Amino acid sequence: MLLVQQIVNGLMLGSVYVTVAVAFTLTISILNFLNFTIPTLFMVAGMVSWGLAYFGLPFGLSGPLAWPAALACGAVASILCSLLVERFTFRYMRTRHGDSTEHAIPLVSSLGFLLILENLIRIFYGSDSQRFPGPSSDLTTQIGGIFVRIPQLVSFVIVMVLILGLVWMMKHTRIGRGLRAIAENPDAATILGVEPNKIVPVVFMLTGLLCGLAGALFAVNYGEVSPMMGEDIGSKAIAGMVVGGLGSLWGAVAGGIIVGLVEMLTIHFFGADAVQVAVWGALLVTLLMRPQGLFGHNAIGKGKL
Amino acid sequence: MKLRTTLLSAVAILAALPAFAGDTIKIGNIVASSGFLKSVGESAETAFDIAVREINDAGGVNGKPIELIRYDSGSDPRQASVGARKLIQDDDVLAILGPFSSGEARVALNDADRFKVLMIPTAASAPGLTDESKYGWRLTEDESKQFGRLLAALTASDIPHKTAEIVYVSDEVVANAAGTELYPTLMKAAGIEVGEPIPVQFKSFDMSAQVATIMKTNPDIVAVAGLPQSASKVIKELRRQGYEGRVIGSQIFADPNIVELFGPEGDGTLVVAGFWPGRTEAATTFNTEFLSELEAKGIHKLGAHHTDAQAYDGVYLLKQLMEKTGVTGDEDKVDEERAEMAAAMEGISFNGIVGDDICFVGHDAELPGYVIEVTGGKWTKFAEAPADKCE
Repeated sequence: MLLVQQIVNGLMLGSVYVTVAVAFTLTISILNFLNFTIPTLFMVAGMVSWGLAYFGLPFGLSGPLAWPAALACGAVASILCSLLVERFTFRYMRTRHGDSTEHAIPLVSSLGFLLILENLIRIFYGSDSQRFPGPSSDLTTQIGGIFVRIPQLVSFVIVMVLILGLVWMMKHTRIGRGLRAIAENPDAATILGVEPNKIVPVVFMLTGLLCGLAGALFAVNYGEVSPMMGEDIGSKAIAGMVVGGLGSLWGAVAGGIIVGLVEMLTIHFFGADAVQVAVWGALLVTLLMRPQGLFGHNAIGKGKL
Repeated sequence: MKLRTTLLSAVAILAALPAFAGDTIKIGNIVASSGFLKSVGESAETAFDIAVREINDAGGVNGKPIELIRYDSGSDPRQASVGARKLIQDDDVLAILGPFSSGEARVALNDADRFKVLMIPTAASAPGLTDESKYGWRLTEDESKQFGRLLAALTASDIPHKTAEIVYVSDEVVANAAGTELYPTLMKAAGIEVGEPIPVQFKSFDMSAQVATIMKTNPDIVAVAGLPQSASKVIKELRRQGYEGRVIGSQIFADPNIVELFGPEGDGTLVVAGFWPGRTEAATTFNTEFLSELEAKGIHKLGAHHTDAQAYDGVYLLKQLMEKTGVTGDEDKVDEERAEMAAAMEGISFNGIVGDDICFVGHDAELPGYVIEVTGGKWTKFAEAPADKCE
């Protein structure tokens, strides 16, 4: 029974990694750009939500309405920060230095954004964990003797619906087709009338939305936020993305869940100190046996959406 | 004419410099105002400042004001060492208050010993930290002694405590030592049946796997060794999975702010602290002034942490040493006065806000302990133990 509980815990933890792994996958698939600000966008959503809920919302809401409104504002803050990153790393660097697919400079500048945003939050709020004044943490149910957190279950469903929506959008809408065209060949897409300056911000907006949603759900699930909350999740989400296969949205979903399961089962059998070895060891074994990841394609970074 | 006037002015300024330098008594202060200890470390800065201001307003020491020269280690042991060397070699301080944590002190105490300068870490409570140090002294109480006091209070109460599980943060120096060595030894000695300690990591946010293992045995008590943020995650997960027993901990997370951080899930938690603000009028006054100054700085605290009180007392302890040795702070006597101050620590007895007639065994102060219970959203005194006598 304990092992089943740990598997359920792993699935629930994996659902936290999934959203962030999908955010990473979006930017690397379409823009060939490993966006290091993603863990920070996740953190910004959580900390802004906490700040608004704790210090009072500017529009006078209180009681049970306050925290959902605060979470929504946190998600919006994440989207705005993501657009800021697009404007001052990706677009600026491409304008000044040429080819947008030369991702090294945006990658480094996104790393700069990560450090700046994280330290700004630390300066304003300190490095402490903060209790998020959301719903009571005893929102737990037992199914056949197995504890399941209701907010985490709801989060998992929301994330799955969002990803289904994302996949549908990529396949059936004009924006989705434009994004896939850029992913396939940015130069050809431009010649065919796709405007990168208009379409690329959509990727960042979606990234911000995913991170904002993940940060908000994290705050509700764990009842706590901190300036460091993105660090561990960011690295595990990258591991999940690579295990699942670079560029595959469903690969990111599977990878995130696999990492969650590996983490929980490692703690169960070997203790928390072995988690990093197990997660990154699993990643290395996957790369050795199947370099493109479980669901990835051979042409890494191009046209898989 | 103009050139001669300029030159004369320059000579006059240069001549005056040594006089300015000797006008204060310089004390080094290594703080953790940034990095992962910022939240607990930065408030100690205010405690140091209050003590220095009070002393200087009352006429200083030996006719001179104290000048506190500060260095922020960023919570990094290497920077604590750099700071110690900078304060000793460049700033000619007579003694150093800080660094903040055991991890930082473990490195910086080597510099204190090498340069023969008295160093009093602010919050370092790792067992045996000063055993090998000649110039390191602590105005903090050892984790094992304080946790032993908590266990004594627990066994004297009617709180069920036959069985226990231990959760510890494996990548923190003090928490690791407490969770793997101190807690199991002391709890077994108290007749409590203890399971194998369960590690968590500082950055971990999901404790469900560890707590599921704990819930398998559903012990009477869960002992947590970790900073407040880690303890908070463990406690919340315990409550989520239906745990109804008590959570206990040593000084590591004995911060008044846990009342807010833990929320209702923290009700019933027992910790042991080295400071009780209601102990004396001076302690109450300090607590009130301290909170008021922090509020003015925009720092939210519910009460002075014992490390804040120890920081405040550390300045007064140095004052006592300076008065006893009659130091002048003159640059040409720095080495001699450093040695006098370090030597004066032997056999000293000190009255402060943390306790009266404080004496030292080895290089560690004997301090009282206060078992705190978080109950009804308040930081309340559950029991207290007087300081041990010095033989």
